[in-house]
Amino acid sequence: MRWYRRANPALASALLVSAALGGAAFGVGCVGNIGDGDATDQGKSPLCKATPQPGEAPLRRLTRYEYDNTLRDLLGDVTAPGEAFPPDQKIGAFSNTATALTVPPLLAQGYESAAEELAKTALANPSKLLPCDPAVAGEDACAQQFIATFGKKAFRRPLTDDEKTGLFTLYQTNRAGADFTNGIQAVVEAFLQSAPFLYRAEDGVVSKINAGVVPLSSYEMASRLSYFIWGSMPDDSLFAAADSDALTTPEQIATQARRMLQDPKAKPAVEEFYSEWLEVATLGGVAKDAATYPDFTPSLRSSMQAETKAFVDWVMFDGDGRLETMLTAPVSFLNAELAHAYGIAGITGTALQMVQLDPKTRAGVLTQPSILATLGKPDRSSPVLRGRFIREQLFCQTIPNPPPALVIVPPKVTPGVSTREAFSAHSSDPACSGCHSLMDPIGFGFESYDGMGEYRTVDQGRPVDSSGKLDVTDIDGQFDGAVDLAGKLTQSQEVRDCVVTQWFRFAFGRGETPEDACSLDTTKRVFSSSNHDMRELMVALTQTDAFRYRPAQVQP
Amino acid sequence: MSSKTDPKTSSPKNVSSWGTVSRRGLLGGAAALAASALLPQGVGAANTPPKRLIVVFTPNGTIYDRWAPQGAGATFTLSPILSPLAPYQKKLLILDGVRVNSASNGPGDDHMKGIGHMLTGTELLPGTTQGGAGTPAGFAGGISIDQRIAADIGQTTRFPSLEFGVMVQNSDVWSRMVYAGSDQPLPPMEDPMMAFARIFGGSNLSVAEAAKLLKRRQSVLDYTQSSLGTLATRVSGADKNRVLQHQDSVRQIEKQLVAQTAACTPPMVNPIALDDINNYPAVGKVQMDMLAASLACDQTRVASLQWSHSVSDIPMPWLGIGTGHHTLSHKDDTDTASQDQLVQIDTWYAEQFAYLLGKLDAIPESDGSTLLDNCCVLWVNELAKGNIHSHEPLPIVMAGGCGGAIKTGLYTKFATEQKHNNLLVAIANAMGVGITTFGNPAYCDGAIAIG
Repeated sequence: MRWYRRANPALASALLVSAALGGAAFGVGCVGNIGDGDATDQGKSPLCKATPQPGEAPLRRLTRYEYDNTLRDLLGDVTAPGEAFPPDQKIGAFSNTATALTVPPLLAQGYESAAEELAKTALANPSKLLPCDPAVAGEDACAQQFIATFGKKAFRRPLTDDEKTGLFTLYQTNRAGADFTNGIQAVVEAFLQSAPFLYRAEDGVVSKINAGVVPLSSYEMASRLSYFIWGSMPDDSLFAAADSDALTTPEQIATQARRMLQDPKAKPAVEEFYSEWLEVATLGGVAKDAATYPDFTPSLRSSMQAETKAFVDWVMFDGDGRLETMLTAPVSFLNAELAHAYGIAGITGTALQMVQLDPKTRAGVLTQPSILATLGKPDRSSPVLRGRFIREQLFCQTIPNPPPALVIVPPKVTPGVSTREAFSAHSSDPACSGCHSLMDPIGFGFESYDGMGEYRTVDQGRPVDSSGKLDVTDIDGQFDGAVDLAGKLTQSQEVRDCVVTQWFRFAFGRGETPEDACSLDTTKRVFSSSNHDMRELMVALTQTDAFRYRPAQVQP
Repeated sequence: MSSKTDPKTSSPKNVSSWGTVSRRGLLGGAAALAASALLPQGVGAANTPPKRLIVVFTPNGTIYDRWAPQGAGATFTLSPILSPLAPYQKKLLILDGVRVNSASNGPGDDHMKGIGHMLTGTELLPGTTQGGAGTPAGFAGGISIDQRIAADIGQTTRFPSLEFGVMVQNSDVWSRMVYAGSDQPLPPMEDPMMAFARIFGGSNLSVAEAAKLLKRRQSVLDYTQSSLGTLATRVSGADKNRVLQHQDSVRQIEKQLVAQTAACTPPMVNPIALDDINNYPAVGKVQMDMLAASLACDQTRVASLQWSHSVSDIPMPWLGIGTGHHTLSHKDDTDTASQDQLVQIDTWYAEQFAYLLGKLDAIPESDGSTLLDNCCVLWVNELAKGNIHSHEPLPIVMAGGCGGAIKTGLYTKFATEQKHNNLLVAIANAMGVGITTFGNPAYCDGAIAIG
């Protein structure tokens, strides 16, 4: 583990642990990365082996968010029916971790209710839904045609004969004693609750099994691409490519990925990654003390989340896509209530507009109120949460849990004592300082922002001291405030590697494993040679063994 | 009946107002209803009302000295925190000295372990994904006691169990206490309007239309099952387990379709914003109303109510408390102002618990007892003492006589530490479920005496 090789083995370093699974890959990946980063170094990592190493490929269920997007593209439904489902269960930072996405009875019932409602709505306009007129083509023939054409979109591949037969039988059962509409309604409801719709099952090209690994079929690749880049089903172009089996080579896949990134559907999917990685997605559940933060209304909370999404869109789709821009650009997107929180005059209305910020007080996504409020307490700022966030989400490090039976006493809000002063006990009490020296000195750098992210120079009547210190990183040293920290983070290879790791987790719905060393290191090299363009990072992920192959399914 | 809601206001698009409703199981058939239909009908032998289990969770531990009653056995004075329970003192069993032994083991921080072990009596699974959670931990590695009991006694009602939540909001390991099995957390219903639609929602269809709908639902769910069955043969290991659980879930809906249950009067439910902390008390109240009505209408015999989630850091503006609950729970024992606020919070939770008991105690049963008398109500917490994250002595308040199986009117202060899993076994036994061990057997050696 790299921590033990460092020259400054402070107490803190011994306390830092990597995830059991992730640690190995991270350590291995570092070997290939030390000292590189020049543009000539692009290409396959020396960690790659002769045969593809795809790592695990757990069965993935549509998340709520993917479900809504898929219904938007399948039926033109924009009512977000998935909002009524119980939230997707979370392990780690992302809510698309495959192993956590079970279907409890509450969700199965949600699928049923949504399917009934969606089918009813779709059948209100039969000429739009159906590929044929039952009065002309004949009811049975039209039903069969519908099953084949709608089914291919719903299942994201052509139906098997068994599936066609089963669904036609279902149609007949419900046509009998009722009408054509009732039969089709049953078919639509069945599609929307069926396994091939709700899960992205993959067999791979079984005839090409090699050493327990299979390449994905073109239809499977179409879905991998569309759910990664759009969080939704494939479009006509992807289906056409799959029909001609033209999604097999890295070039074919990259061409599609680049096309897809230009499509407006990429925006919500990319926003989804950033709002989960940056923990802004959890802001909706954050409550503040109204006496301390009277401006923190549900409306402002929503605007804060919208601000970060707009900023992410700007960086990724209007800007240069670079990590440095994401972390340091002194601009944002504000409406009247956000501008008020920023202390900026002259912005009116609820629509967000681009605003240049004072580069001395705000820079990049990390100084946005959405993140700072999420990482704040109800009645004060939180150096601990903010330091923890930087360590875990930006450096991909893990901070251990407090030891058992330790009396954990956070300081209270006391007039005349700044938050920073109140937290000094953490550094003076050895029982706390071991771990808190990993968090608080970074978090102190954000003390210029209160618990809801407003800029301040005074805290509890005391002047704010936002000097901070990084330790046990590759950019160790003092820094002066969050803007300075953000600039330093852009120079950290560990942060760059971590961004790749986070995207990897999100793309594959799982944690990294030692088998992913080649996929991760190859992506890191491309990221580096692209001057840390996160769009190139996304394309690079589609080129990896993890994306193009999977372990062969164990046959029953 | 739509279950769609606008996430902002949580107001369903299509919920009629109901005076009386027919069961969804009846699909709009006969709807002869009366207020007297609150009584469970056609359940159990004559004059023997069924037993019901209710679990209530509140977070962040308690202040022991202000929680523990004075006295012992049948002669005790309720503590300041528990004083709102005075009207029901004769129907309480307060247990002092239970330890969650499993919580010394396994992945996860103390809050995660606390809520995850609380009803399962076993360790959390190792986490697969790092990030946002300290040392990685997964969901609990076993079934929770309410689900184990529901497996036996929940098969004759429309729902084997119903889970209610009050602004739980999160969906991670810290926020799940009910488990259908290892790695199978069950989310609570958080939106009262949606819970209402699920439990009490009916339709105004004609008999013929209702028959058509029933046939369609059954045939569609048949197709769903067969498609899941096909998928299950293509995958293995954990993937297969998830698909099999999905099949179980669909099976549960299939049973709901045909379950014939007594018609009765549902509670009044109005749309309420779930993203405004000021509504926390109101959401809790309506969820308790619905929980009590679900039992009274015999929609289920196993229910739970989860207030927020473990490590909950909500302020409580209606109490004038602006600091987050979790933050307060970590204040030093000598910080009397913070301790007083924690007592205020826990007393407020006791008032809510008392409200639930009052509802249950006001519902008469066929034999002259009350619904509460036939309930086993278990009020638990993920921790004992917040600022040291301890798991003993867990503040446990039980209520209701469980049809005579539990002796109440008692404050039992154990001379020696009792294994938590032994309590879970005792509760199952009181509910008529004849198990001898539960959870990780390493922490279980027989039922403790509660009868």
